[in-house]
Amino acid sequence: MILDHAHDLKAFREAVRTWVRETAPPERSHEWQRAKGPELVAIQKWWMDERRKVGLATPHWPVEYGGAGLGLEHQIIMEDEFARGRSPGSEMFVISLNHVPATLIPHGTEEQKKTYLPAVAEGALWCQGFSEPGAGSDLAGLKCRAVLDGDHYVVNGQKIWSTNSMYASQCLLLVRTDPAAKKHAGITYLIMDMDTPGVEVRPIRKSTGASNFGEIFLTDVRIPVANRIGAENAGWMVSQSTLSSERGVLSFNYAERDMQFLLDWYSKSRHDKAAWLDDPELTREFVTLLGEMQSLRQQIRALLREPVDAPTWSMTPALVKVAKTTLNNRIHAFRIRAEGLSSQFVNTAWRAPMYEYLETFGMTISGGSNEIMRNLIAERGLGMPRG
Amino acid sequence: MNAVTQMVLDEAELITLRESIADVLASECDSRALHLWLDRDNDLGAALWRQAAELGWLGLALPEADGGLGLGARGLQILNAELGAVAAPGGFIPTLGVAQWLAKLAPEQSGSLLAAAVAGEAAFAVPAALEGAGALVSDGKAVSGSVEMLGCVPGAAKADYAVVPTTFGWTVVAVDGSAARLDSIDTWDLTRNLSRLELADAPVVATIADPEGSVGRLLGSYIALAVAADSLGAARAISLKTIAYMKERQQFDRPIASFQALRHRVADHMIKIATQDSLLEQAVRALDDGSPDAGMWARISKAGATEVFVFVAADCIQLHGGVGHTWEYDPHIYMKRARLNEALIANNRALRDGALAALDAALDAGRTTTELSA
Repeated sequence: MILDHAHDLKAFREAVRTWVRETAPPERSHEWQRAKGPELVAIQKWWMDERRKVGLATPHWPVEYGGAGLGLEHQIIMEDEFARGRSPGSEMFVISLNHVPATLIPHGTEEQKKTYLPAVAEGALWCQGFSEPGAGSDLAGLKCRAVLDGDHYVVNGQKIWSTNSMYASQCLLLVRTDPAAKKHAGITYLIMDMDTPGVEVRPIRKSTGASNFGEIFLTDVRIPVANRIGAENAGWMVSQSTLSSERGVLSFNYAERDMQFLLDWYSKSRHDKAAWLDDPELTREFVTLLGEMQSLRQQIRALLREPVDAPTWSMTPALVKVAKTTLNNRIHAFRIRAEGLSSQFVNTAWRAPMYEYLETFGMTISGGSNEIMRNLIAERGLGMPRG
Repeated sequence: MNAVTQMVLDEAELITLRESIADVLASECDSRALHLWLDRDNDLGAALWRQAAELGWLGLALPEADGGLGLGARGLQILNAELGAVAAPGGFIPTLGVAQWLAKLAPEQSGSLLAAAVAGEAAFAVPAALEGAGALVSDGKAVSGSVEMLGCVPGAAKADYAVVPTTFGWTVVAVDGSAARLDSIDTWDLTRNLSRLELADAPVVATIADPEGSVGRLLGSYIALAVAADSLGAARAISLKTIAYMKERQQFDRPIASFQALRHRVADHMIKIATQDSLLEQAVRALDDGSPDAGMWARISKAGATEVFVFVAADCIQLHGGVGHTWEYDPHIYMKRARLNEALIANNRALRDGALAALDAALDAGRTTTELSA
């Protein structure tokens, strides 16, 4: 029904808007805004299922893998309307929706694509097993060992910072198959079912006290060779597709929601006659942050318009990554100062400033630390030599 | 909605236009020419003005009916960013800003003035502290008083006009050297022209009434946008010049560009500049689309862009090491331009206060957050 309007962007937008309002009315938004942990997983799975029913789970995927072959424009409209309708998020499915197709479509076997891609719309939750305690920014230094044994790899090692691994059904796993080769040349890419014997997930408690990522301990885990993506020892090349998958649509959704939030928060401050509004130093800082948030939205739109297969390396994703993560940190730091002492009382309100502020320290590290981003900008963007 | 301006040139043609402007400026206003100009050993200021008129730059943004190319705020952005990149001397910002404003508000009255401006024969000056300038006394026919103006290179145009706030609104007077006089003020930024306007019963050429203040705010928006574009073009240029220097300069047997502590600093220049570029983009689009929020975005953009320019220019002095502090190298030229830009129109605190007042008014008028962040 909604997809029938795909040829007419305006009508498509209207249809998505109406559907969001009916399916996840904004009056109920507090239900998904406050949920955490398993409750949040349940809500997001419900939302993904509702999306699936009307063809909006993976509409931008190719038709043969459960999509509708819609373009970026449709995806933007969809995310835009989700954000404006204050619908539940889908961040649990980041890996499932972005990294999995970006990896499987170019590198997977036909059987892997047919098995795993349509299952994403059915709610399959994937996690990523890339980082290790000794391999963070230096990802290629990973040591998790896989040894071929007949038609299986036997895997031993440890992964870390694996978001939602405690809820995931599958994992995109990087392992070392040739310890003698140069570090980039001995890595293999596997699909791991999380219920395989020998897989143990231990949630990591973050500075907020909550957990949404974990460590994965792997002890003699047997993974079929059929689950290998690409050739043995070609995993690093395959992983570059995974890492470049996030073309900003998700950032777009976040930025839309963050702008809504910032303006809503300001309106509420005015309604409550908050004391900070009488402090010109703070009100001016607010204007600066509002401007930068608006700028971020424009930057992400520009990023989305960049061709995915441009021949030259673009600095934009790295610039946006640093800009958005540091801006979020500054916005919540600002809210803490604006609110004063009461910001230090633990409360469970949605987007409590201290909670959000602590969360932002994860963002400046994950997805390539901001320091690595600055290296990329300097080396690849500005042609500065390595030290 | 000014749909016409959107269709004049497509994105690829705008890029070509930008490159053609950059090419001309790279050859006519390179570092050597600029340094000679600082010591007033060439006539770069007047030469650039003539060249800009000949190449049609002074009409880029103006409607086609006024002899322009119809590029609107986008045109102001493109031209001023390139002028800023080479720290071009001259009074482009006030002339271009006023022309755009006259074309928008009083196209019939100002036809001949605009034609003269496009031809480079008329230059406009505006109060340097545009939004702090008190109204000058006027009886509607003549105006008296004194105010500091941002104007053109003296003698570059045949005629200079001053636009000042009066008790009747916004008034244009012809600078005739007697009833209306512009006396140059020595400023640290040698690429701009500030002067004191002395008016003694100077005859009024034209007045635009401004009962609600919106007329003055629109002028402020155009000037703000031009200053922001100038600042960002300049910030990027001095940062790139500095990076080029860092690749050449050797210490400890290697280029200083290889030191991570320094590389991260210039990466931060790019991050800050990119952020402000997008904010300016927002202001440009809002102005061209006739959005009620255009003034708000333009003021936030001017405040942010000039602060980033100051930050980058200052950091570039330090990244150059000792030579950064010399007359011979370029960073000081940009730093001085940055500090003047920062002070133009109004201090950035006042601009942010104005932007917040605009936001409050919009929220009070019942505009939704969705509309505001469109």
